[in-house]
Amino acid sequence: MNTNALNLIHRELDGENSAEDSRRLQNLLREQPDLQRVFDELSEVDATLKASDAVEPPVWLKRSIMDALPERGSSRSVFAGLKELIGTLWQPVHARPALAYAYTFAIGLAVGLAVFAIALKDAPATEEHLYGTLADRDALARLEPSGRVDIQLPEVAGTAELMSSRDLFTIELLMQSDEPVELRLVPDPALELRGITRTSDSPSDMRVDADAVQVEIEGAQSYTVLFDRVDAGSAGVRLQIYRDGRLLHEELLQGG
Amino acid sequence: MTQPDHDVELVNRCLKGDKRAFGALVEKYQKVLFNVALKIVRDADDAADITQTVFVRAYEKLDRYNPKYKFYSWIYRMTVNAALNFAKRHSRLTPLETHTIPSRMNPAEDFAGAELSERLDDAMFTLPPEDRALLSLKYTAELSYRDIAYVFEIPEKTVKSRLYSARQRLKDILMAGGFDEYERA
Repeated sequence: MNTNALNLIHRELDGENSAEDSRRLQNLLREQPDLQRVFDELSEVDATLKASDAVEPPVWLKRSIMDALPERGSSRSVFAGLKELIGTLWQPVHARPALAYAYTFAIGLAVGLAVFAIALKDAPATEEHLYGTLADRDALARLEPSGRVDIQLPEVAGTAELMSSRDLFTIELLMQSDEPVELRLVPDPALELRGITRTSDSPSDMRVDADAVQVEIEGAQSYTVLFDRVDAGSAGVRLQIYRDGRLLHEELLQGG
Repeated sequence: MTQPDHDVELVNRCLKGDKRAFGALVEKYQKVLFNVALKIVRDADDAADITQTVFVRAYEKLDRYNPKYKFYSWIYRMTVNAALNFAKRHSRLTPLETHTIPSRMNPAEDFAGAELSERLDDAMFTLPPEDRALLSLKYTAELSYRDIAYVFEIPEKTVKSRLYSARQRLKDILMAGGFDEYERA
């Protein structure tokens, strides 16, 4: 099919043809039934795409975004304030030069502490982020998919997606259960829990103790659990699913 | 659809420490960003994660935003990049290799908008992620070719030719699956 004619069709759909181009296209469509068919089909696709309804985002999304925002420190005003403070403190030295050494030391110490405090305060905003919140972005970017486990039980269904890198191992749990069940993740000694984040909004219970992470699932829930790899070699997490204290299922989630 | 001047004012208020101003930007753009991400990654939880990550990143980098460009183009660029990176990282787990959509068994069945939309989504997900991103910016975000060119950092002419071929491919996939009969049923 003629590329120019096709471009004319696409431009017509986007309302970009001049009046003359539109007339030229209409003539071509009259002369070439195949081209008319393509035009009709593309028009249908275009109309369907335009009519496609946008999905409402989860109701909790805005709150979750606002909660995740770091504090915005105004470093310029902090330093401007410090400068002003130093100026004020330095005034008595003009009157009594003997105080200069003591003042220099005290102000130096105060400035050092202030810089340290600002650095400490800002650190989480740049370092902590798991897709986000739990690890730095570079470390997360090194994660590679290392497996996927499907769980299909009468009581609970879902998937566990595993990602691993030399330093990290993550498990993304997407689970659905009509009745409350408890998931217990027991890492082997090669792993150390870094943290857990819940990405769904339904209320649920999460507990972390010395040797396991426990989450309660009811309805649709999703969690990401992040472990540091403290030993080289393969890493694994034992997934146990309980209902009313009874073990329903147990499986080893093995990372690469 | 947007008022860039008002966006710049909100950005300036954010930079002065007014978090509520950022809340207004979230309110304004969360739906469309979520939908753009959704068209690329398909999963609603993943799309919500990406949307959140993008807003947090935008907030952190707000002082680097250049008001010469539209705020929404800047934030769309971050969304598309984040969603495409996500899609690439997960492509091994969810390969998108099917290039035909099964025909409906009974084209005369009653028309149902939701089903049609699902069918369109199925067809979309046989396209490469970059094409899905392009179509979502054109149809979901309703961006101009110029803004899409800014988001992808490619010439406007390239945007058009890539969009034409993406639309063409989508048509071919849908028609191969009996979309035309379905549409007219």
